[in-house]
Amino acid sequence: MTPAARDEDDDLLLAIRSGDEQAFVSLYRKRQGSIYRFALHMTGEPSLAEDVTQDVFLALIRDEWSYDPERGALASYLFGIARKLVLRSLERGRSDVTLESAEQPSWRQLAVNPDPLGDLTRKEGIESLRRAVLTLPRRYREVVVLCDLEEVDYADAARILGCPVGTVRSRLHRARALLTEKLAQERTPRPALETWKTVRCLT
Amino acid sequence: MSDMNCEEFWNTAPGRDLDGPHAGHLRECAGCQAQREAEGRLSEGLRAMAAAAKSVEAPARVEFRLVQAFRRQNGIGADRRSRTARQPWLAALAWTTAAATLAIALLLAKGPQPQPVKPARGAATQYAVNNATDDSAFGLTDNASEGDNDDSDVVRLEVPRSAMMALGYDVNPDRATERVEAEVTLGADGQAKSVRFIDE
Repeated sequence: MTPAARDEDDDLLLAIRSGDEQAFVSLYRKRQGSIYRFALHMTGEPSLAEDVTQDVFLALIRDEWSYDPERGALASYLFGIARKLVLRSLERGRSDVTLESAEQPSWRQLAVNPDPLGDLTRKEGIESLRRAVLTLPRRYREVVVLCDLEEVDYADAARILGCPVGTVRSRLHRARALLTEKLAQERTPRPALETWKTVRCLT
Repeated sequence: MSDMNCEEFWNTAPGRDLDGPHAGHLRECAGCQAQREAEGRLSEGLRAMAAAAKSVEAPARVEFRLVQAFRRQNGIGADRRSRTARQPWLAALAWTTAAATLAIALLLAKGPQPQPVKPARGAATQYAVNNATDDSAFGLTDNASEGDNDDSDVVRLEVPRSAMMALGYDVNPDRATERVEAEVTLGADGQAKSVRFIDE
């Protein structure tokens, strides 16, 4: 985020605090898209994303989370609220799907399938990718959504997530590995041997 | 021969352009090379996904609700009431007007039953409330006809112009807060059936 954009947001917030409705509408229109998309990519539910977007800006109107410009940009602050609300609703709904092998991504699939990623820039590729992102464990999903999809820089992402920049980097790397594995699995479906359980030995 | 192992490579790998030691490791390690190439293609896919979603935004009704909340929070719209409270003669006038209105209403109630307002044809556009799973609360219907109004009443009210956005109108953002007159058709169950903007 550029310093100019940051100053502009802070000016709008000052005007909002003095009751300027037009300033609120301007700030809302400027920031609502990224907040809505973040919630949508995280939950896969348009209605949840709508609720989260509404609650984020309601919190801003009511100054419920006391924004401190010293601690980061307003955009990061809004993402931070959105993240908390998303996590809360995911916990309530238990709609979080995790990969079985989340902690140990394997690149072996790459050797099995010569083109596991296909063309991800085409419509069906994008749809596969969207599904794969939704199946990522939360802590990996949020870095992908923030850094790769909403182009938040690592430092801001670290502030939003409340972790060091190094953690953002490593989670992002792990998340991308998981995504690749997931896409490879989708394109060459075959049961993993380690998931088979012996029921009874006949010999 | 690069001194860097795979773990060191991935823990310290910079973005797109690799420096000497990293490039050296990549030349010697087929596994990391494949992984790096896969990451590049995945990044392209993620960029395409981001681009495809760039125009996705919250439905217009969210803005409408938030503007209402903002006004409540800031007491906008309450000014007139507080001014009335400060000026007793205004309050007296309001009470007199209310009493006169009530008297006229009671007289009318003894006569024939009032007919629902028949919305004027032509100039305005009518929308029917769509209860389907569509994202917008209101959906356009071509046949929101008068036949649907048999058991309905029409209520005329003022709404912010931003409410028109929920129905797909192009509204100049500078005029979003202006008020516009609308007729809402209420069904026998009290639910809104259609909305007609009088002053588009």
